[in-house]
Amino acid sequence: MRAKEIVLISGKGGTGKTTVTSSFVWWMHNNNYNFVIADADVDAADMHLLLKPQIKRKEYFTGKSIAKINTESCISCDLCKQYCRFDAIDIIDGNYVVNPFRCDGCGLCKLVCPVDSAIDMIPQTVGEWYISDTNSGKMVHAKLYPGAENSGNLVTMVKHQAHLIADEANIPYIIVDGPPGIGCPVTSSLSGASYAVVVSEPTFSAIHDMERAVDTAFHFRVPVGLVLNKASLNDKNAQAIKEYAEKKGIPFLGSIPFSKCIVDALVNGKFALEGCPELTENFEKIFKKILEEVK
Amino acid sequence: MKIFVTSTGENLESTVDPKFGRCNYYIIYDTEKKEFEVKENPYKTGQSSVGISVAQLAINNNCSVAISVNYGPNAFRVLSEGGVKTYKAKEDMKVKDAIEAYLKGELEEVNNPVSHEQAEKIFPHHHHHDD
Amino acid sequence: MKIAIASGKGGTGKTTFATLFAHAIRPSTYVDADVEEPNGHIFLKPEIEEEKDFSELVPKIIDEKCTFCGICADECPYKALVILKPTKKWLFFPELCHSCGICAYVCPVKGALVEVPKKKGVIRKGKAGNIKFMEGILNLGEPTPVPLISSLLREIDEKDQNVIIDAPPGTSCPVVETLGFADFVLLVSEPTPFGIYDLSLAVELTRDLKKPFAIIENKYNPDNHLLEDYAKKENIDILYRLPFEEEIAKSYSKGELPFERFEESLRQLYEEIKRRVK
Repeated sequence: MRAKEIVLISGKGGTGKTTVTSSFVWWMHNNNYNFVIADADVDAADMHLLLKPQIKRKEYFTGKSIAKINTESCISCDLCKQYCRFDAIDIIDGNYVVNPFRCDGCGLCKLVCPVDSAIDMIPQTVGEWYISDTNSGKMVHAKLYPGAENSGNLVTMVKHQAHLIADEANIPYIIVDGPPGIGCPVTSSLSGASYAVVVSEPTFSAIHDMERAVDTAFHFRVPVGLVLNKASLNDKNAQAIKEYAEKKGIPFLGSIPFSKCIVDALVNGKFALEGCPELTENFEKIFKKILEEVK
Repeated sequence: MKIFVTSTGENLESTVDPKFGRCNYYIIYDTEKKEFEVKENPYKTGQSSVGISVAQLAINNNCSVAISVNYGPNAFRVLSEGGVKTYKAKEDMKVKDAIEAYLKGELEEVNNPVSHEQAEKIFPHHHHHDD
Repeated sequence: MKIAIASGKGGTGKTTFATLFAHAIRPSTYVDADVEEPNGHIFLKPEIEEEKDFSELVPKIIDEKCTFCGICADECPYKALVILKPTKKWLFFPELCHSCGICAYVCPVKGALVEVPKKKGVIRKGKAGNIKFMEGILNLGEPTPVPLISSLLREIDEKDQNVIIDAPPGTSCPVVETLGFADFVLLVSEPTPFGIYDLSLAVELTRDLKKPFAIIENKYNPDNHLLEDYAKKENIDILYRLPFEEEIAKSYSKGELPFERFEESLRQLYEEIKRRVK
């Protein structure tokens, strides 16, 4: 049986997605569940700060190829610069040079270049991924180098590795801390998932992004549930989110109040649930419901 | 007639791979000769648009039917434009049972995983990652 | 002067700070370059005066001329074109297309593949009092925001003096594109281990780009020295602090901000940055 893959996403960043995910992991571990952890928030992977993984395996991740102009063979015909749609070719001190941040890797410059060896397409190492041991079980995580692109593919890789581990050891769950936003990395994190948990907060900007995140999950036919964090910030918006869930026909999994205690717990390197026992009931209700939903 | 089936393993006893684009293997079954060939999916760990590529494999091998569990919207579009009918096997079904069920007319035809209009409505223009 | 407001991760208060700052130093220009989730308008409530489409070229195949040779599809690096030779059909996946122009370049038949503009987003301009407002909005599902950001930032007028650019979150290509236009960068962070780790990635990037920068501490709590310790260790100045108060979070949730309260101190901050850029 393929492991059930539970992905936590948020739309907007900063709603407490990682806070909820890490507490979920802590709670599942304390309740003797077996699972693999996947940190798919590869642009800003934070789970390792709490879970303190010991890295057992490290691999480099290759992204797209980008153009490199060989100054020796370049005849300065200017064709590459004229054709490039990404404005990625600069002339520096009289030499034609590719700006690696702007180059999209399409290779048109190489096609138009009249000199055989003047332009090469060079694959870029854009990040690393790891398989680690933590107190709560195996964890797959990654780091995308700053300024790099292609994080959707790294997300796919992290999830793929988590499934390989789960398949081998017959582990029933994979808990995925998904990326923020609604772009390419999120669609990668939802692709093939068993269940998506959207963590939102009662602010205008978060509600807007939550709706987009839910629609993305719908699009990939992944069943979805809503968690409302910082619920006490704005009663009206909190109510609106509950009504939205009802209207959309998606389960409202529960809410967590706005709490300084959670911030303090994180500051002290603790899981939110560990540092705030008074919130046990809120968290537990949500987690039990998630597990019920994925049955 | 040739049938294209996504498979987790290398023979007809293997289960149908639920992920179309990222299946482990694909099996092409010839109903006249009652023979099959199996190939590893070269796009399995590809970075993007793998569904489109695997769908083209089915078309270029002259298959008229595809059997899998989950088709991404892009793969589905290529298959249907290429004249390949798409059928949905039950999860954990063996490849040989899925083929038999299809031949008996017991498999559900997938008419559209998410219709184009529906997809446009809930998520304009985004059919990016099809597995 | 152009100041970019960035952060290693979302939700640290980047837009809160950027809009407060733009308001404090008015007459100013606020540019929302977070084109995937532009939120600045929620707080500045501008009147939009001008809206124009942002388009890029995508291929269109002319059936009568196409020989279905398939070269365009073979050469497309993004697999956005599929040519089905047996059925003589072509399929185009606009959400995969990066508008690179290779297909048109390689097509061997004159007039069989032409490029036509496709709308990928909009650029909007307006006013909020004496703050000039600009934003880009990318259509959902477009593969990359970089061309729109680039186009938006090129619309900044040389005459615009006090320009605040709200950068996209994270540390990837769109941020690089945005910071490229800035004279100074402010990195908004919060004093939690997550916040500091994400900040450290943004610091790494900003240093790579050789831009002068400083830190803005949001959700500041005088008893918590995590961010201060990090900044000291890295030898970076924390130039401004926004307190951690439930009241601010509550007004934010309603799409409001206490603009007047921080006005004076933010003007002083601006003077300090001016001194540093000179």
